[in-house]
Amino acid sequence: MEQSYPYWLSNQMISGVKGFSLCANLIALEGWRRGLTLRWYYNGSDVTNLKPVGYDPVGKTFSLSSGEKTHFFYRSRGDKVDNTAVDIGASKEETKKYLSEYGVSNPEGFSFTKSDDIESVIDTAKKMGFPLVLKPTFGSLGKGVITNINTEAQLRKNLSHVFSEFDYTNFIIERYIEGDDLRVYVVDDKAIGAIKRITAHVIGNGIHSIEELINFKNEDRKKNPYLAAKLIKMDNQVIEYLSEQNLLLSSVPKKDEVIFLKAKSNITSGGDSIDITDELTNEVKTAAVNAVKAIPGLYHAGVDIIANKNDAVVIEINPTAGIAMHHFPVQGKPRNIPAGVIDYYFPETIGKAAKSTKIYFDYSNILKLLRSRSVNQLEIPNAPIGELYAKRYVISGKVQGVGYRNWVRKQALINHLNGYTRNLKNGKVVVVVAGVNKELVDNFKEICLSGPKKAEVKDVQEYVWDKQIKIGFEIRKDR
Amino acid sequence: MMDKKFNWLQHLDDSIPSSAYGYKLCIYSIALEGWRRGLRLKFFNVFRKDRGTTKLTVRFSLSYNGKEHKFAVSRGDLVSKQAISICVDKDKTKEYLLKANVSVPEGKSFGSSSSNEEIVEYFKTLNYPVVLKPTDAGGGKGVITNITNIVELEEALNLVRTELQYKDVILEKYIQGEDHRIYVIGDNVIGVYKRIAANVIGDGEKNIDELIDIKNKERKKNPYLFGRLIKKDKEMDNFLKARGLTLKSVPKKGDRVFLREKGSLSAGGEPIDVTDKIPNHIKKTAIDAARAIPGLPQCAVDMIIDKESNIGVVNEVNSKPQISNHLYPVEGYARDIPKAIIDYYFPETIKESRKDCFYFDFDNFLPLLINGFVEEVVVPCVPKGEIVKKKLTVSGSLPAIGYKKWIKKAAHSLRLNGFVESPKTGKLIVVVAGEKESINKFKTKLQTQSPVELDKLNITEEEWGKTIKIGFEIINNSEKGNIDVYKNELKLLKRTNFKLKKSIKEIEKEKDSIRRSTSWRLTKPIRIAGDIFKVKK
Repeated sequence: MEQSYPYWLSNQMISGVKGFSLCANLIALEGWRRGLTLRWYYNGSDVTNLKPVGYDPVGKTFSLSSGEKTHFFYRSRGDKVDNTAVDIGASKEETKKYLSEYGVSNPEGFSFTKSDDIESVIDTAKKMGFPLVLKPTFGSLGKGVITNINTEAQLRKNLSHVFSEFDYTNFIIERYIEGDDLRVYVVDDKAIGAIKRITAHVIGNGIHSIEELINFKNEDRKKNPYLAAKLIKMDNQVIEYLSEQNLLLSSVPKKDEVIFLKAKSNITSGGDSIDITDELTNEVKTAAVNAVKAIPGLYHAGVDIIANKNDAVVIEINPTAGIAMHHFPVQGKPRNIPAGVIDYYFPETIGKAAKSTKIYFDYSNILKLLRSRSVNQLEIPNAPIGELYAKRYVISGKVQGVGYRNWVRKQALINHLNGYTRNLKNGKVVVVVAGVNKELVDNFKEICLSGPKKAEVKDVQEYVWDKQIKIGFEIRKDR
Repeated sequence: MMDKKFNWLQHLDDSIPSSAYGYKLCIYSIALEGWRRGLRLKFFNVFRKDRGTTKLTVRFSLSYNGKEHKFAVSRGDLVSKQAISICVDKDKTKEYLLKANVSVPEGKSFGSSSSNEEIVEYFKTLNYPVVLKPTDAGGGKGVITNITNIVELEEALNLVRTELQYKDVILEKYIQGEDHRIYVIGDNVIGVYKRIAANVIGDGEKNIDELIDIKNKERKKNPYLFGRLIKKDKEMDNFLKARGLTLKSVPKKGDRVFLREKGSLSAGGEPIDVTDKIPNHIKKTAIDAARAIPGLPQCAVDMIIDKESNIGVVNEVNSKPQISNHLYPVEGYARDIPKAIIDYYFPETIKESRKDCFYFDFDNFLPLLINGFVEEVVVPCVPKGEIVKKKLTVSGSLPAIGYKKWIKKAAHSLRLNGFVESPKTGKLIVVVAGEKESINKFKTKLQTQSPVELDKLNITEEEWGKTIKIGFEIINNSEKGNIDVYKNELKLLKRTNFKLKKSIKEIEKEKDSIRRSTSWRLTKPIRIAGDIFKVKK
């Protein structure tokens, strides 16, 4: 939990960007840093037939161009993926069909609708035998999924629960398979990232109560940009699940005792994400790669797999998978999924551009513009290509209230330098400039020294700057 | 909003975002005219070279059916590069004008190799007074007028050529008369204005001091002049004193009292529209001047016109003039230069209905361009079809957070434009514009799907008369008021949270005591048996 950010990202680069917008941001950033031209769109349907999915598609469509070719993306999915593959992925029933045809192992099961005869559904389920899983055919994010149904009574209760609680009409009942819950990201026939999801739990220390342990865990999760909004809620579900184990929130677990808090392993509901890319077995890799191959028109996706000693069973395929989880695992190494995706779409950029991991663009403000629909499309200035070199200059003298910052912004921009300026409380002005041309950055000290007409610069102090740099040049508010 | 005393263009009322006030008005008003006709509008950054230095500037382009024209402020791309280079060079301009028999002040230009003595010799051949000016400086920089003797000329030469470092100069006959700016496009004069020095007109009651305050109040409403007020300074005191006046003097009704010599706008000068007062032969001279320069379909011609004789000479031709003075004159009528420009560049759109009820945002994206965060933005196209504008007042038990976002999403999904604001708790004002069908769908959505207690929801509807900014925003009325609303909501939530936590604890305690009780322990085997049938969640 110490290192929350992979080396190619920082807090500032993605601050204010949440949910699936983050997926779009991460992929776009990788392509843009390689020198591709990046454009964002209010609504993708104006420019591409990429099928949007999800509740709020605004500002999640972008394009990357290399001059010869342009590729459109929606969230983490690019335009090489057919819309038919998106439709297949959205239907668990269709997915199963294609998986089975291709010989990819998936749980035995059957589909039915809300209007079917409930008794015959239960009969068929009983013939298959418990334990079972009940899930909506077109659901996502684990909504309405009930796992580990062990008795007919449980099945009846859960059926009536999902019928009344959700708007879904189509459902699947399939065999429940015990094993590790994995998400494997596949691109270009390779498994480039794998996350094991562990059900929300706490580990006892013999001192603190479950409630306290949950609070500790949530404090940790808050530090993780991906998990910050996915805390463990102490809701009725948790209280009930604990009471089934004869436990209370106030109970104090023994040292090293693992207490599970929920039945489902969703990260959203408090589960842990552990990177296991390097430990993946060949069986799992093959299952994941074949699952993507099994769907016509699909070339990269997140594959949900249950793996145990005997088998690797594909549960679901997500053509528009969330990729942030691979960047911010609770344990293990972060994986650069965007690099894999951009390698696939723009193989000519592999290793070609010496990309900087410090430069980024202001997606959070761009998103605001697109969300108010005051802008329909916009293009980001191309990223400087090469090793970024930066300096921080502190200018003293009569430099505030004389138009210094406005002037210095113009100077920086015409010199193609990026960075910011800010007034300091002590009357000085700070200027950070970065570029790939070392000489320009060093010479900027002279420019700072000259200043605008009204200014009387006494001195310019020079410091090293090795933090992130936003493209463009910004006048920041006084602190 | 606009003071009706001024004859400004009605379709620009309530249509100028605050960041377009001032010198950006020119770019905004032309872009707006094209955009309202349904053209695709794009703003982008360019690095341009200007007399040796590089500048980062925002430009825009308009396109219609695949045909695109780029604009640098008021100048479109039909103006040739040659024309631009002629216009910045006063010497060359004169050459072309003379060739076309357009009357220009008699004079001669001198390059950097010419000595001051040479210039003085030439001066002797001219009729006095004369004017000395740099060959290629803009904005009246280094122009010395009314030189009547050799001593004055030598002083002027020293200032312009040595101190200001303009080596290339023009010496020409000084023509008595008023400066006029004549906007020409195609073969037509669209507008003429002149600048007069800061002044007030008496009403027989108020003194000069009070009249200036009234003038300044009016200037603040002028989107072009708002930042340039009439300053009451020493210079003005002296000017008035020389005429036997003070700030406390009360001018007679109808009397115009000038306040300074200089006519520049920053010194309180005023643009006065005189289009209808200019005789046709002068207009013809202006058109001839524009035609004299190859590849110049649009420009502003600066002429000095002698009031008595009505003789005009052309002083300068500007390929990229500010047009805002034509739009917001202090006297006379506004002249619709943006319309004329767009008519010229996109004649096929003359008959397109102009959607005057909409304007586009500038305040939000301009800083991103200026900061270099973005390279280019495309403004959403103006909505097509018959537009209906409604103001919906929504009341009931409305939550302080969340509902406005929901409304915004609903408006976006139907591509409606407008805003939502909450003047007070429990009441929302939603203003939407779009096609009738979409508005109806929106209303139904509000009435049937709002995430509030629907039976308490009350929606009233009226027409909306004002313009609407494209897009949909949540307006936070008063920051302070809003924070208070949130604070209250937070307080309430905290209180509920506290109560819930308390009851959870109480229930747990109860459960605990039951568990510890003898009867609970005695019934344990029965419960274990029961667990087998218990449905797990």
